[in-house]
Parts: sequence; structure tokens; C-alpha cells
Amino acid sequence: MPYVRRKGWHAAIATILGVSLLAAGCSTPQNDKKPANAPANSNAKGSENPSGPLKLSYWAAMPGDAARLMKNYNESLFYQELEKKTGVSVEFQHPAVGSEAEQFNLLIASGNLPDVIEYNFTSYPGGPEKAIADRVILPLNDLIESHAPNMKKYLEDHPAIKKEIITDMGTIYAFPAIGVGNSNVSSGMMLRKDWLEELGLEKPETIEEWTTVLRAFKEQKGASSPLTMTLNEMTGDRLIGAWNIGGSFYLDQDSVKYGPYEAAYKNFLTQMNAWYEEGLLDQDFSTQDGKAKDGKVVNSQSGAFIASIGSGMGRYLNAIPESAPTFDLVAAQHPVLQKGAEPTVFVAAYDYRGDGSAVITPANQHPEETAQWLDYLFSEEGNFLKTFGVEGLTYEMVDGSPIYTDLITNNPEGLTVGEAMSKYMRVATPAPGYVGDDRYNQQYYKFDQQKEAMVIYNQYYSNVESTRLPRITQTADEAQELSSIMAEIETYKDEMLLRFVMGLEPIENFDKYVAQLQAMGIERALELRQAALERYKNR
Amino acid sequence: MMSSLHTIRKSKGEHIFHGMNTLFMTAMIVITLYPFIYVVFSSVSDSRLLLAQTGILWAPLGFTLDAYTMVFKNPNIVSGYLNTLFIVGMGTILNLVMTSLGAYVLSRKGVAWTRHIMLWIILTMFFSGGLIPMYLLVNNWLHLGNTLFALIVPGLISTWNLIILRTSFAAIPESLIESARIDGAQDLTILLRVVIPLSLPVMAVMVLFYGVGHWNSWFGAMIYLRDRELFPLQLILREILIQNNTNYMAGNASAEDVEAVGESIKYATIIVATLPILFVYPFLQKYFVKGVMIGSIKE
Amino acid sequence: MNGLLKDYRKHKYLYYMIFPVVLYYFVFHYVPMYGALIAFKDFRIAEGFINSPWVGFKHFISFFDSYYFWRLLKNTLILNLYMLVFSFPAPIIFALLINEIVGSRFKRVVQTVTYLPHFISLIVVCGMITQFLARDGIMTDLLVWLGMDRQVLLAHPQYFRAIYVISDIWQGVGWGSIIYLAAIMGINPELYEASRMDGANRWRQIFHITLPGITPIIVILFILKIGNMLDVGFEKIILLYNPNTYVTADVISTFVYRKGLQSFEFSYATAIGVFQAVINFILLIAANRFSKQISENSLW
Repeated sequence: MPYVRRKGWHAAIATILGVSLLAAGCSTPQNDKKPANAPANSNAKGSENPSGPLKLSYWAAMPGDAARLMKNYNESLFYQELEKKTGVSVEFQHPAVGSEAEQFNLLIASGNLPDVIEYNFTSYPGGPEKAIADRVILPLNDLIESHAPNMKKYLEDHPAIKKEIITDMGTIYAFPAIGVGNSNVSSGMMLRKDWLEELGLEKPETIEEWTTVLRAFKEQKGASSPLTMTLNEMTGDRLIGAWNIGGSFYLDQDSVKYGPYEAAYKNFLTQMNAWYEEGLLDQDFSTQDGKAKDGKVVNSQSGAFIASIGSGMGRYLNAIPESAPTFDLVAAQHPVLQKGAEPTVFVAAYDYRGDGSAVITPANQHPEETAQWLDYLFSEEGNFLKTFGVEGLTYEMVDGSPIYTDLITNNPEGLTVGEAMSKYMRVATPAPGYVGDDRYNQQYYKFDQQKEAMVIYNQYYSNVESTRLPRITQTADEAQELSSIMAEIETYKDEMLLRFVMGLEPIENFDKYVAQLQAMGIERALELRQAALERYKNR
Repeated sequence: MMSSLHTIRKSKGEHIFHGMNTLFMTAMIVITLYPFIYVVFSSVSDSRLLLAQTGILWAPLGFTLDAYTMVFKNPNIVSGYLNTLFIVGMGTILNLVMTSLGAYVLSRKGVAWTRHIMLWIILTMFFSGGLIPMYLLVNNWLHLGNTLFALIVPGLISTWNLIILRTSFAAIPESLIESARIDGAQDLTILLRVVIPLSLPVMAVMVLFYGVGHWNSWFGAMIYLRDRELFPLQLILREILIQNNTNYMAGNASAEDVEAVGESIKYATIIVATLPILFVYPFLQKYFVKGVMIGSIKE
Repeated sequence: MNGLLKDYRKHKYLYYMIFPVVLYYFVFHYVPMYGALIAFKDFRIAEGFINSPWVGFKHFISFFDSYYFWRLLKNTLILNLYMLVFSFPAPIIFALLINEIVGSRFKRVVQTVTYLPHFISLIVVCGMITQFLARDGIMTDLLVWLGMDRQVLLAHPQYFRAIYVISDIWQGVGWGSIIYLAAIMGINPELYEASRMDGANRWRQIFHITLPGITPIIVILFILKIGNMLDVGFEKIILLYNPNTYVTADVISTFVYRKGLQSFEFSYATAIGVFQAVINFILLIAANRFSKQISENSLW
């Protein structure tokens, strides 16, 4: 008989399987220990040994560059040096690149807060004040007063920044990433410099001049899509700024306005439609992805476009095709309507970056030391370490200015400048402290055209400060209502934008479009935003 | 066996049919192979030349292995491989065990409660508590957070696969089961000695579905893992792929404009992260053998 | 109780064997199910499940009242209907054709190659689709040669569903055929021999042996498909759509995704998920019952 009777082992196996399910949980090492007097909502990691060196747990997003080169920030020279200088060792937790928001929410939900979190708390639902109420963040006013002299001084000297980083109630909640230097604007309009020179044209400033230039590109240089862009660039604060309105909510004196609801929007649409019909605007702007746009730029199918200085201009200038040996690019201001007018609405980063701001959580057992540690980044020495690295290794002082060494600019392992910087410093993406130092930016951009672009783009930055909504926050209920309304309005707005520009909808129907926006609740949305603005003004 | 049929009875219609079929299959090979070829060619091309390229890629643009060198410089790739192999191996074994047990029991006729359990199980395909309770369960209550088991245990049984396997087990003739029982076998033995050997093709499919499922998954890792040491391969790959993708970048401005990943690095990472799993199916094909077992088991 | 005891004695090993399975489903599916109740609350992450306030059907009503509700529902259902009619049978037919290939080497090559696209990440595949359908893309060139006007198909809502379905077949037909091939392998070869004796040619064999042989698996998978009528994964659509095509391409999941970009609305998303689940489940029950009437195949 082929089947041996073995009593009972079936039951045993089944039970083992069932139990092992539960055992799987207990067999894995546990990292979190519960200290005796921990405040609620915390399973503190690290920071336990009061008599030894400080050990902090630190949750931060890693930028793509760094993620490809390191397993965590402790492998970077900057943090290794920082540990040597401050005696504080850090245990990093990094969410997967691109999924920071999801992991952040789960972090909060689980209640396992680390000692420090780096995140953009202006986007926390209900705002930073709610984050404090939710016991996710510790208020920092007292800590800064007593333990963060560098930051304290900086805020005293820069009250405008202070207003940005406090809540409506006046609480400082984060050690922010603050932009210094003239590099808040890092993207804008660009044109083929060689074409302009060849055709004897000046860089266009007004919309009319742009039309002339684009026509010349089309007729005389054979560009099939003289001006190319992707959908995001059409809906963003780019060309629309010529009419002094924004692509979404913006500030007009003291009131919040919504660009696509304004009368001037009709003029914007008409102009875009005219360019589209005449073939001056890329016919495929609404469907193409970045790769197609890149192709058109490099293959001379387009002569004008919108791009970033680093990831756009830098890349194109690096990839000059053999078919266009004279390929050259020049940066231009965003267009205006009248000659002599200044651009007022365009994409620019806030001085208070938002991203890369560090908060101390209630789980932190040593908030004073932590504040002191974070404050180091606001000191001259700490900032230098972060931005330039170690003298002799990553930079040399030349005539009083730090100049990056070949390790960074001509990396022997073949790393790009950005990658090398991620490996040795923490400068290319927002981090607590000062960001965007001009001396760094000048060297990050290696082409002259890029350095020139940085100056051109930032020339009118101060204008943006009056048209861009400051960091206002909505309450949790407001946020919910607003998101319901805006989800529909933005869907409708985007659809109609394309219909008008591409000529599928006659511009005469603009009034019907406006009426529909009203029916969807745009006025209520504006009310909600205005309320937040009022609270901001009273900070 | 099949070829003997063809020599006996070949009609003109069948000739034409086979001809058309061959043509069709060749076309299918071409259009399904192309994406893969595109990725391979791109991975050995010069990034800067790729920038200008549109349309079909007939050959690599400037052969270079730089992209692969860069990929392997990524310390996360090696750890990613180890993690993925562990997850695939351990996970698939556990999956097979659990699913076979379930499929066998639920396919038995004459047992009253199997239908009810089936219904409750199917219900779970539709109703779930969502992300947060699952996260709390796995992370806070079972303490599986930040371990590889968090990627295996919650998905021990895929109801979809369970249903397929059950359907297949149910199709085995009752007579065979009965004769084994008469010989003295209990249920577990029947499962192991009769049912599974007769279902090798479907079991191979289970290995494929579960194995590939584990290999390709990144979502669980994204949620439960905080330690990059534990990241599986696909999560690393995904990080690289979405960096350049404008659909995922919610159009917000950052002053520090991030350098884009070299195009060819993107493709090289895809190859590195995908190649091994492609060999599993050809390997499993030997189990896709027509009902040989049925004949040999019969007395 | 007596009946259960008797049953236990008769089938005791089945009880042991099913125990871990039931345990698994209980712990990992039923225990967390309370989370579905988030749909009826205003869930605030930091407050946790218990402290978030109850709001009854507020989120459901908000969704039903949405200006785009009917469009989203319609698009979701129609897209799935297209998939059911075209995408579902494709792997079956493909499996049957593969089965007919003469020459085992060629057969294995076909099987191994055609399933490759399944492994290529959606992001890359959609990038390729966008590229092929660009104004100067290879597919566009082909269609122009066949008489179409030169245009970017992805900008026209009337073509979106076709593009979605055809690309789905392209990517999935090889992989999808695997399960059917496995089922074909499970058919008793004696049946073929017997029919050959009776003089049946290949066609009759396919229709009278092969197809009936794999009918159980076809029916089961079909019923499951019906149980997904209100689900359309958002990722592929996000990568292929744009405001031009919202009118046919915007489905429930993409709208919720866009809404979620503003703020993480767990309750709202969960409510919609519950709505979809309820409808899906009803459809499943109906399909299953119908299938029981006309064939002996059903899920339970």
C-alpha cells in the first residue's frame, strides 16, 4: 500500500502553521523601546542615554541623487563631520523617494514619532498649528530663545522671514530651510541664442515681440513648433503672468484672486489661441511629456521653451547634437504686455522653502540639546560645512571665496556635480539652515549661460513677493471644504483651458465658463482663502 | 503524438490556418519584444544622444556600459537583490503551502461549510479596512513594521489565486480521490500525493504568479519599510523612474532644481531589476506538460 | 452542534488544514475591517480612529452630489465593459492559438517572448505609448499610411478607450494566456484520442474538447472580472490622460487621486471605496447566481 498512515502529524503541521503566523511577529527584532515617562503618542527611538553622547532618530526624505549613492545620510561626509563636531549621532529613517507624503501620514498614524522630522509642515492638513495640537510638533519659541542663539539672531534681523515661519498664533514650529542669495527663481523662458543672432533679433520682451520672434523662427528657421511646452507649463505661472494674473490663486494687493476667474484670463486665452492656430505654439503641448519636449529642443524643432537652469538648460547644453553645432541658449524674462513693464507673476521658490524644515517631536527626550544641535546649522561654521564641506577636501579658499575642488566639479568616479554634492555636502536640496547660497549656485552651474540665466531670472523676484500668496494656512474644516470645491473647479478649468486654447470652444463662451465656475463655488473658495490670508496678516 | 495526427490528416484549410498562425505569432513576437529591446538598447546608449532621440530605436546610440557601472555603484542595488530574493523565496513557499491547503479543503465536495467559508473569503476581495488599520495591525500590533516579514505575511494568500487553484483542484476526478482513500490515505497525504502531482501545470502557474507578484511588488515595501537596507529591488527602481516623470511631479516649483537622472541609467536599472525574473517562466515551462500524470496514476 | 461534531469526526483533517487559512483571513482581513468605518467619520490621522467624529453619509453624499459623478461612473463602467468584451477574451484566444503551434521550439519562444511586456513597468510602457502616438510617432505614421489624418490620438477623447484597451492587450495578452495554457494542459489527452478515432478535425477538437475543458476557469475569471466593474486602476490612466480626454478618461479613481493631491482625505477616499465595493459585490453575486443557473460553474 503506497500510503503510510501517520496519525496526528496532519494536525501538528496545521497547528504549527497557524501558530507560526503569530510567531512571525514575535521573532522579528524590535527597534522601539518604551521609555518610562514618555509623553503620549510616542515610542521614542534612541535618545535614551543621558550620560552618554546624544543619539537622535531623524526622519527625512532623501533626494533622488543621494538615494542612488547612499543607504542613508550617515554615509555622507557632511553628517560624519557634523557628528565629529557636535558629538550627536543620528539614526536616520528615510522614506522611499517619491512617497514621502504617504509615509509621513502613516508615521503620524502609527504614533511612532522619531525625535526629529523633516517635512513641509505648511502642507499638513489644518496647518502647523494643528500639527502642534495633534502633538506631532513641539512649539519652539522657548527653545529657540534659550538654546538657539544663531537662529534667534537671524529671525530678529529678518522679521519678514519670522512672519513666514510662525503659525497664525505666533508659534515658531520648525527650524526652516531659508533661502539666502539670489536664486529663488531657477527656471524661466529660454530661446535659441544662435537663431536670434542669426536673424538679427533682440530678446523679446512684450507679447508682440514674442509673436514676431516666434514667427521668424517658424518661417526662417523652419521650426515646426517654435514655442514648445508641456501642460504643466501652460497652467502654471508662466505666460499668463503677462496679464498680471496667476494660473491659480494669487495675491492682488490685499485680496486673494483666482487667475482663471479674472476678466484678463480671456485675453490670455485669446492670445494663446492665436498662437496655437498660427502654429507658433506647439500643437502637442497638452499631450507631450518632458521627453518629447526635450527632443524638440535639441532637434531644433523648437526655438523657445520654458525650462530650469540646471535640469533643463544644463542638460541641453550638454547634449548639443552634431546637426546643430551653433546651438546656444539664452534666458529671457517672462513676457509682459507693455514695453518697459516688469514681469510680476512667475514661478519662484519661497524664501522659507517649506521642504527640508526640521521639527522636534514630543517624543524627543532631549529637546534642548536637539535645538542646540539644529541651531549649529544656522551658524557660520555649520553653514559652511553644509554648503561647502571640508576645506582641502571639497573646497579651497581662493581670494576669500570658497571654490569647490575637482572632487566635486570633476569627480574622479564620474559622478555629476549634483551627485558629488549630495555625497559630500547637503546643499543641492532644502535642508534646515541657509539654502541657495550664491557662491554655491555660481559653481553648481558650470555654463556661462546658466550663470547669466540665474541673474536674469532673479532680477524681478521682488515683484513676485507681492503677487504670490504667502504661507497662509486653512483650518482642517476649511481645508476639507476647499478641496471638495477645488477638485471640481480645477478639473473644469483645465478642460476649458484646453478647449479655448485649441479652438474647440469659441472664446465668446467665456462668460458661460465664468458662470459655471461660480456655480461650482469659486466665490466660496475665494472666501476661504481670504479668511486664511486675514489670519496671516494678523500674525 | 500530435505530429502523427498531422501527417495523417492535413487538409488545405489546416495548412492555411497554420501558415496564418505562424505569421501572426511572428508579428506578436516582434511587437511584444520591441519594448524590451528598446529598454536594452537605451541602457547601453549615450544619455546625451538619447535626449534627442524620438521614434523607433533600431540600434543603441553610441555603445557604452557607463550606465551599468553607475547602477552597480548604487549600494542599494545589491541589498535590494538580497532582499528581493528572500522575499520571493520565502514568500512563495509560504504562499504555496497556505494556498494549497485552502484550495484543497475548499474544493472538497460533500462538506457543508466549505461554501460558507468561500463566501467569507470572497468578501475580503471587496471589503477592506484600508491602509491605516492594516498599517496599525502590521506595524504597531504585530511589530512586523520595518521587517521583510511585513511584506510576506499580510499577503500570505491571494484570494484570486486561491480561487484559481480551488477550481483546478475541484476538477480532479473524484474517483481518484476515492481510490486513494480506500488505500488508506488521509487528506494531507491525498493533497500531497494525488492532487498536487495531478495539478502540476496550475501549481507552476501559482509559483509564477506568486513569485512574480513578490518580485514586482513595491507598495508594501514603500509603506512598511523605513530602513533603506531592507528596500527590495522594485522600490529602488521605482524611485529612479518617477524622478523624471512629469506626471508625478505635481508641478511645484523648487528653487533647487534637481538634476534629472541620466536616461540610460534609468533603463539600465530596469534591466538589472527585471532580468532575473524573466528566466522563471521558461524554467517552469517544463511543467506545462499535457496531462501525463493522469494516465500514470490510473491503475 | 451535533451535526458539527459528526462532521468533525468525519473530516477532521480538513479542519486542521483549513485552520491556518481561516486564521490568516481573520487576522489580516477581518480584524482591520473596522477601518471601512472611516467612511462614516471625518478621520483625522493624529486623532486616530476612535476620536475622529462621526459624520454619517456626508462623504457619500458629497461624492454623489459632485458635478462629475455621473461622468466618472459612466467612464469607469464603460471602460470596464470594453475590457470585458475585448481584453478578456484576447488571452483565451491567444492561448488556443499558441496551443496550435506546430514545432515546440517556436511555441516555447512565442510563450517566452510574448509575456515580456508584463514585466516592464507601467511608467515605461506608458512613456512608450505616448512616444508611439506622438505626432511623428511610429504608430501615428502607420495609421497615416492606412489613411488617417495626422493627429495626436491621445488628445482626442474618442480614442482614449481604444488606446487603453489595445495597449492593455499588448502588454497583457502573453501573461494572461499562461493560466489558460495551464488549464489546456490539464485536459485529459484521452479525450483527444477518442475524438480522433471518431474522425474529428482540429476545429472540432477545439470547440468540443479544448474549450469546454477550460470553461470552468474561464467562467470563474469572468465572474471575478464582473466583480471588478467599478474598479479601474488609476496609475495607467494618470500616465496617459490629459484634460483633453477627461471626458472619457477621467474615472472614479483618477478623480479621487487628484483630489487627494490637495490634502490627504482618507475618509472621502474610503467612502468611495466602500461605494465601489458594495456595487462590485452586488454585481458579483448576480453574476455568480446567473452562472449557477446556466452552467455548473460558480464561485460558491
